[in-house]
Amino acid sequence: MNAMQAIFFWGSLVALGFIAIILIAYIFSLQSGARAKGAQTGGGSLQQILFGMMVVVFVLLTGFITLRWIDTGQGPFSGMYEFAIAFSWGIIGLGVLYWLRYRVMLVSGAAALIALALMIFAAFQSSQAAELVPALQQSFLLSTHVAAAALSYGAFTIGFIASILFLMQRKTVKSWMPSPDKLDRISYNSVIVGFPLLTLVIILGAIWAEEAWGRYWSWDPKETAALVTWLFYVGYLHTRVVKGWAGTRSAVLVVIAFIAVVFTFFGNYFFEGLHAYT
Amino acid sequence: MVRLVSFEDEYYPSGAPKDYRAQVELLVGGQVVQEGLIRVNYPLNYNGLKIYQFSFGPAVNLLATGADGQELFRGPVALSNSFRDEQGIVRSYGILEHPENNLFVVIVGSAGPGDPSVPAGQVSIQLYDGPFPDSQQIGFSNAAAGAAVEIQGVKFNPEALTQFSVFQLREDPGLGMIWVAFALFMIGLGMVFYFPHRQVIVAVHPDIKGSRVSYSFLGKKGQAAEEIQAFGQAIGATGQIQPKTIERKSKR
Repeated sequence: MNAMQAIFFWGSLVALGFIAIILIAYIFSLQSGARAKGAQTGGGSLQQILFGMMVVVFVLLTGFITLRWIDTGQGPFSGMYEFAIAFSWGIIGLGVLYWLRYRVMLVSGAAALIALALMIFAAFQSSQAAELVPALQQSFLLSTHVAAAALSYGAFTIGFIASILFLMQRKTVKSWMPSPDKLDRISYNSVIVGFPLLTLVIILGAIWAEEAWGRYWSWDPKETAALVTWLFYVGYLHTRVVKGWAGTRSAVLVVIAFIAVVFTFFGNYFFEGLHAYT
Repeated sequence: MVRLVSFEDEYYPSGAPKDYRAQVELLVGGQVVQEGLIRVNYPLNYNGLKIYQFSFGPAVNLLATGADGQELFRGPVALSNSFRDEQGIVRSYGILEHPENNLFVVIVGSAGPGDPSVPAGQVSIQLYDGPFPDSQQIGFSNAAAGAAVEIQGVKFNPEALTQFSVFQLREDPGLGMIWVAFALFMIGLGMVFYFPHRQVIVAVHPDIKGSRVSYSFLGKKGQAAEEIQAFGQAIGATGQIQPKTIERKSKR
């Protein structure tokens, strides 16, 4: 079982490495294609390879999570090793979905780079199945709470990448890149996918806290960080819908909010608290 | 009343906690009405009251007898406080005060194996001449479980070293409401994002050269643009009014 897990883990890591290399080639082909004709025709087959690789990674990560689930008897969502992999799984899954919907490989592919960074981070963590402290021994809530977190972080990663690509074209529109208009739409769409999921994470967490500790909210650092992240996205949505913000200002807000996501993810390294499980 | 029947704490080899199990009996008017096991994540329900584990610690069942053999105190003392001594060792202690018997005792637990002053499996019994801490210590002795010691004519017997548990009782009749509220909140979010409110206001202004038509959009523009265009053309095709699109940004 452990050998299979290791194969899936390293397989997806290597595949993500390939994605990174092919992505560079893809960017070059886009640039030369844009220079040659000014039209976005370059890298058609590379695009298909990238998409295929992402599907492969998604299958491998799903296999890993399934195996580990069977092995340990609970959703493999405890400890930073398992959660980093769940986060990568969320990014790749959402990356595949956004490719299917928007056909912008640059966004999905660049998001895969963040998944790669997370997998490298996981490779340096202990792969021992974490010993579950009593509070975590609630299989249903553990699985739903963390799976929702992985998916919402995945969506936010897509939005972050789209916003970065948008901001890179702030001064001049680069013809090899996806159009700013499309990037703006992708980033908005990723937030309206990620935001309800993040809300669900916080709600499930509160209900769980009530079950485990007898209180909904303890102002634990990770709880607070998640709330701050949530408020950043609230700010983004309100300025966008009510004030009509779009483009650069919105993109900057998404980038800031994503920094809050990263901070929330690694928050248990900076603070002690109820989420300091690893 | 909650009576703790037994308490077990279990740890992984790494020292991380694995399980805390408290077997309890609920007593009403001296009668056991319910018994059950309380664990983290699994509070005990009784008539809408939820009983949670809160904390636990060492306790000692102490028997104190006076010089004349008279029983001064018999019962459990929870070592529910803690202090840090000069060497930085954290120990728990409990206070027993019986002014009517002139009995003021502080019981200090062991910090575990390797504790230089209170060995594991023993407690330090310290006798004071008045309420702690504004009083003088008049004698102390370490005592192992079941071994009696005498301090200033008072015999102390820590009959057993046990544990105490603290429970949190909560009555939360609104829990169902909170679930409903959370569910409504999620549904609301879904509706706002995926089924946005849309409204198109079409105004027809009569004019000498034919009517003018203007539109105003609430919500996302563009989604109904094609329909509006077709609508305008259909009106134009009747020849009665000339559609002229004047788009105004809604004042929202």
